[in-house]
Formats: sequence, structure tokens, C-alpha cells
Amino acid sequence: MTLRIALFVSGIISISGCSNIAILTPKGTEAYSELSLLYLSLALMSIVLLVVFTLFTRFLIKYRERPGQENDFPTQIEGNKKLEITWVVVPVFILIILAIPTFATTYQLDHEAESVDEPLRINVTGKQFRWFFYYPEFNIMLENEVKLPVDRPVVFNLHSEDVIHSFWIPQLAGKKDVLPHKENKLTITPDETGTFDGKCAEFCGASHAFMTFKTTVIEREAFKEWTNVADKQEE
Amino acid sequence: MKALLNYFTSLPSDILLADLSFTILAITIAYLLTTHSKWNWLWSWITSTDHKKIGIMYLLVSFLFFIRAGMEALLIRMQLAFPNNDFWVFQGDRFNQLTSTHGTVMIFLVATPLLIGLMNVIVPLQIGSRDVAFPFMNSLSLWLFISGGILLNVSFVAGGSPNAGWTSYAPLALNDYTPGPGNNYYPIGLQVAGLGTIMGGINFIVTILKMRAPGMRFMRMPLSTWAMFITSILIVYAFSALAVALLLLTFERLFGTVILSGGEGNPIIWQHLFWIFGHPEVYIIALPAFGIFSDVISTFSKRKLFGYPSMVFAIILIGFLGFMVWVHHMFTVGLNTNINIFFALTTMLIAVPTGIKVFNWLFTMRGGRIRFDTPMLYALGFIFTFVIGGVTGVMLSTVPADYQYHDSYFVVAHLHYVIIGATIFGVFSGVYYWWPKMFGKFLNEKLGKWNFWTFGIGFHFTFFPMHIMGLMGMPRRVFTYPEDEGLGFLNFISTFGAFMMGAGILFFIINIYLTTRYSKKLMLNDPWYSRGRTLEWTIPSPPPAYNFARLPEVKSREPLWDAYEKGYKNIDFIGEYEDIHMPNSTSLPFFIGIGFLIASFGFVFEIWTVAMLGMAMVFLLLGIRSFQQNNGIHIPKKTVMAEDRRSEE
Repeated sequence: MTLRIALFVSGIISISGCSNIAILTPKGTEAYSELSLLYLSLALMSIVLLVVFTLFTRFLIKYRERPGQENDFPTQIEGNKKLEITWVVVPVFILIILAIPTFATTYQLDHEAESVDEPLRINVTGKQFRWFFYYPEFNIMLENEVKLPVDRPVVFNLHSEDVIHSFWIPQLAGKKDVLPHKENKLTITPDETGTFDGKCAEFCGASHAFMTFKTTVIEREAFKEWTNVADKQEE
Repeated sequence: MKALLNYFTSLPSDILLADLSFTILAITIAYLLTTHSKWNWLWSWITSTDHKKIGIMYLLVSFLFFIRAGMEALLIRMQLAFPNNDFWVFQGDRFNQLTSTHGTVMIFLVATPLLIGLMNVIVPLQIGSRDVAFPFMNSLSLWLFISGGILLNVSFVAGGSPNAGWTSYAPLALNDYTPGPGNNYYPIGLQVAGLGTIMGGINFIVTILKMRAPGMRFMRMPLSTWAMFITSILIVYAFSALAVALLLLTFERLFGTVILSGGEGNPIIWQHLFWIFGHPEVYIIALPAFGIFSDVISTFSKRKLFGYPSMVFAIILIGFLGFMVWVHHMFTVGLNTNINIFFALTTMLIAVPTGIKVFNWLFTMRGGRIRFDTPMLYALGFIFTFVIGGVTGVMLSTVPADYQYHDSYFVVAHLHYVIIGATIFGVFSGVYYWWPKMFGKFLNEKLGKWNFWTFGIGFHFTFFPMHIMGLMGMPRRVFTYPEDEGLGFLNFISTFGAFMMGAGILFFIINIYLTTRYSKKLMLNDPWYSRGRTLEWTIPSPPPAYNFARLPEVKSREPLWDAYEKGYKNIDFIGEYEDIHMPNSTSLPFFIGIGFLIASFGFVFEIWTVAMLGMAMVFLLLGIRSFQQNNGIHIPKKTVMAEDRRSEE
């Protein structure tokens, strides 16, 4: 059974193609550090899965009731202190290994907005079912699309005009809720150019599925040029 | 007449179909009851205060809700089977109604009451008691649950279902964004059902504290009973928090308060209160299942439960920690970093007692003679499934990675692995295990195995791909997805799996029908190869109304097994035969339920006279109850003795 499931899993992954899996192919610093925690926790948890499923399969095969054993009743035991202590202590160690980098990364990501140098600031407004992006530096307003320069940290000031939304560009960074009456900040540092899907991740009403936007990451020169052109058009 | 016809032809086809099938069903049932002259029989069930009958009604009604919410799941999966799909009418708002009621019904009207029902039958039997502490309140719990359930289910055809998600987050769930009666059903229906659940919790606590048989100390209680004891404490605390949250939402929607909205209020209050209830709720529906698995795995491995004290300790610890993890549902809200860190730590910690339980189950099987009857298959399926769900749970606790998983299909996969893996597998395991005790007949093993394998394999087909869909960036609760994201294939597999699960449930229904109709009565106290361990197997199947003719004496943790070891056929019963005092049947809880139903419709549609009328009915009935001289009935000693002798032969 375990083997069958494992085959099934690897089958699915190979068919769908790893290149499609957004979170596993990060294009931003933040998404990258989040992914490394995914891998760490997955690796630690694989040990757990391996131990449990090995014992599980072994016990089921070895101690199954064979024909003729219907009236066979084995000796009864209460437990085993040493074993019971083992499966308290070992998981605690595994959790400590996981907890330390978790804490460090959380602090780092949550305080990035204050610590980064000269970030590009963009005010994001979520409004059923559209996204508005305003660049105060250049006085540019975009709807349902956002352009970012590569390798420059961007601080998004998130704000909602109605219900709660959640701002998510899976390949660049994890999500942050977009609340009415409170501003949240999310920092993203794209490190490759390209076009990435952005979505609303918090259920927000009838057309929640359509509340998406395009993120285009371009070279810094190209970005500069674009801001100049866009600036002039505004005037 | 013509206006009526116009009204019906203007209805959307799905509502029309629901109306039609409901009418046909109601007429058929009424017809069958009349031709078989069973109305009196039905009334005797409705007015019963027997904990076994109440438990069975709980199971039946929540199973009906399970079928309804399961059909919703199939509709959801059909809409999501292909990219850019347009299935029937289920896009946009209609789809949101489906997901909202699917979640709400499954959690509140299926998972919780299924377990409460099963435990209602079993706990008094396991502790050697003749009924629960408050039989009247037990019946009232049932009818409040049914009232609340009817309310939530009727919403589909009357005024629209709740459509703000099963979590019903403000401000989306407030009048500004979802006007009309639809979202009124949610707080009011759940308030009524939740009131019943709180009463049930209190009832179990008092029953387990005060009504154990002589000699049954705390550390001699079976694990199912222990689990239900801790669960009941969780129910009293968690459902009270929910009641407060629902009141706030009701006031906000009906009377225009601004606690959850505007610059003065704060929508995050709802999220906190909801999850202070919501996370313990996960353990409310998991712990009793853990208890069932402990009893089942021990029985079918023919081994004593490994590490009983640590199993009890783990349940208590899970219950305690369960109240300190709620913020892990809110990591992306933008709370203070220290808060996120604290809740990540407590969430990780809860893996420790859970691990204790899993290893103890594994080592219970070690050295045993494992039989693969259907209850055991479900227990083994649980271990396999739940460990995967637990592992993704730990992955979700790492805050930065959770920024990615949160509100994506990864979470959908995780929660179904945990809730179906524990609760639904647990209920199936328990129902197959105790079915002969409840009805005196076995369920068919062959059909049981078909039921398990189709449901179990279908389950993994449905939910495993969702992990990957989540990592591919598919958010929850979307009614469609574009073609170019490559989500089509996985979604299709998932839909296929859902239908396989549906087939599994059909096998279960066929099994019940065939065995009830055709199989013979067992006439055995202890039907599972005559090696039961706990008190419920010392009495006839099905047990008489008073359960125990004479009180049992408990001298160890597994009294029946120990009696067998010493070569006895049954345990010692102490004391003489005597007249047995039992509670009356009563119709008041049923009518109080109806009173609440009327009042609730008044509140939902904001017709205050109806609301007042319903509440007046409730208070009038409570008044009547207070002045009733209700001393119960006595079953004469002679009858008890005769029945007891017959069962021994």
C-alpha cells in the first residue's frame, strides 16, 4: 500500500511537471527562504513518515492472525517506559531543529520592511474584485498589473477598501492579508525577470476566483525607462 | 394558481430539483409510515429519553446531513473538474453557497454530532450506568441540534444559503457585502445547534464524573470514555466562545452594531473568537475518534492497550494545548511577530502527544494477533492517513512556509486528511464495531471491506493531489481556474476520487439495508469472537432499556478480559435484583425544538412577531417543565429477572 501510494505520488509529480509548481520554483528572495523551510520541514517529516510506515507495515505483516490462530491469545503487557520516553524525546529534538530556523526566518521576513535600503514603495488597494497599484514615487497608477524592477526590494503597503483580501504572488513571496482600516506591509525582492501570476488568496465574494493580477519583473534600466514614459503620459 | 406556477418556473433548476426530491421523499416516508402503521413507533422514538435511542437518532440524522453535504462536495468537484468549466448553475455566488454550506454542515452537523451520537450510546454502557445524568437534557440536545440543522439545510431553498465561507469572516459576512437572509441562517442556525452541543457536553461531564459503576476509578475507564470526558470539557469552553462570536455577528447583522466593522470595530475580533472555538473543535471531533481507535486496535490485535497512562496523559495534553494554538489559522493577518512565533511553538508541541498516541497504537499491535475486520481496517486506514495529515500539520506550523500554504489547496488537503482521516474513519470504525451491540446484528463483512477500500482509496485520490495543487498556487474557494496554470489534470483526478468515495458510501448504505432486512439476530453479549474487554460487552445485544440488570463490579481496567482469563463466562455483578427506576419519555424537548425553529425563522427573516411567538413557546414549555411532577417509571424486579435469565441462556 505504501509503495503503491509512493508510486502514485511520484507519478503525479512527474506528469504535472515540477516546472509548473510555483512554490517550488521561486523567483524572489522571500519565496526562496520560505521554500528552504518547506524543504527542511519536509525532510524532517519524511524521517517521521519513514519510521512510522516501516513499523506499521512490519507489525501488520509479522503479527497478523494466521489461519488456525483464531483462538490464540498472546500474553498481555502494559507498556514499556524506555520506549515511551524515546518517542517523547526524539520528536522534541526534531521540533527544535525545525523551530530555530522557523523563528529566525519569521523575524527576518516580518521586519524586512523597516530594514531594507531604498525600497520601491507601492500602495496596493484591494477592492472587490480588482487590484490597484499606485507608485507614489512616480505618481503612476496601474490596475490588475504591477511592474517591478529586478533585484530591488519592493515594499507593498496593503490596504482594502471593502472586505478582507490577501495579496499573493506565489513565485515571489508568501501572502499577506489586505485589511480594511489597517495597513499591512509586505516586502518582495524579485531576483529574476519574468511574468508571474498574482492572486487574491482570502475568500472575498462572488468573483474571488477572478481577482488576479499580472506581475512583470523587468530589468532596472527598462523599469527606469518605463517610469519616465509613464510619467510623461500622465502629464 | 397561475402566480404560483410562475413562481415555480422562475426558480433555478437546482432549487427546483431539491424541492421536488424533498417533496417526493417526504410523501414516500409518510406513506410508508401510514401503511405499516408506524406513526406510534416513530413517536416513541421522538419522545424517548433512552440514551441509546437518542444516540441512534443522532447518528441517523447526522448521516442524512452527511449525504447532503457529500452531494455538495460532488457538485463542487464537478465544477472544478476542468479549467474554465461551467457546470450547471454552480459558478460565482452559487458555488460559494456550496462551499460554505458544505463546510458548515460537515463540521457542525456531521462530524460533531456523529461522534456525540456514537458516544451517547457507548459511554453509559462503558461506565456501567443505566442512562446519562440528565436524560431530559439529552433529548433536548438532540432536538436543538436537529432544529439548527433543519434551519441551515432549508436555507438552500428559502432565501439562499450562507455564502461567506464556513468561517464566515467579517466584513464579508456583514450586511454591507452580503445582504438578505442567507447569511442570517449561519449565526442563528449554529447558535441553536451549538446550545444543544453545550448541553450535551455538560451532560457527559456529569455522567462520567458521577455515574461510574462501583470500582471504576478514573484510571480504569476505557479510552473512549476518557476521550469523551476531555472532549466534553473542550465543548463547554469552545462552544461558549462560539456562542459569543455568533451573538456578535447576529447583532451586527440584525441590529446594526459596529463591533466587527467600520473604523470603530475590528473584523479581526471575529477571527480570534471563531478560531478560539475553531481549533479546539478540531480536537472535539478528533479525540473521541482517538478513543474509538484505542478500543478497536486493542480488541482486534488481541492485545492490551500499550501505555494506557501515557495515552490518557496525551489526551489531556492535546485538549489543553488545543486552546493555545488558534492563531496558526491567522499567521498572515499581520499580527505581531512574537505572537506568530508563540503560536508556531505551541502548534509544533501538539505533535508530541499526538506522536505518543500513534506509537502506542503501533506497539499495541506488536506481538498481537491482528485481525482485519472492517472496524480494524478503518483504524489502520486512520493511522496511515492521519500520520500524513499530522506531518503536513507540522509543515504548516512553520510560519514563513505557512505564508505560502495559507488559504491554498495545501490547507484543504491537510484539513481533509485530518478530519476525514480521524473523524469519519473513526465513526465508521466505531459504527462497524458497535453495530452488533446497538442492533444485535453484524454488518456484512464483505460489503464492509468494499466500503472501506473504495472510500479509502477514493479519499487519497481526491485529496492527495490537492497538496500539489496548493503548491502550484491554487487558492481555496475559487470556482474556476485558468487553463494555462496546468491545474486541470490534478483537479480531474481529484474529482474522480470524490466519486469513488461516493461509491464507498453507497456500499455502506446497501450494507445497512441488506443486513437490517435479511440477517439473523445474534443473541450474544460479546459478538466479536467472544473476547471483549470492557463493560459494554457484558450485557445483551441490543441492551435492555436499563442496560444493566444488576450493577457490575469493576476490579480492573479490562474487567471482561480478566474474567475470561480466569475462566469465567462473564464478570461479577453485585447487588440484588430490584425495581429499576428509569426516566419517562417526554415530548417537551421535541416541542422546544420546534419553538426554537419558529423563533429562528422569525430572526432570519427579521419578522419580529414570529420570533417573539417562537421564543414565547420555548419559555412556556420550559415553565411547564419546571412545574411538572415527573418521577419516572419503575421497571418491576420480576421483569428484570426474567429478561436477565433469558439473556444468560
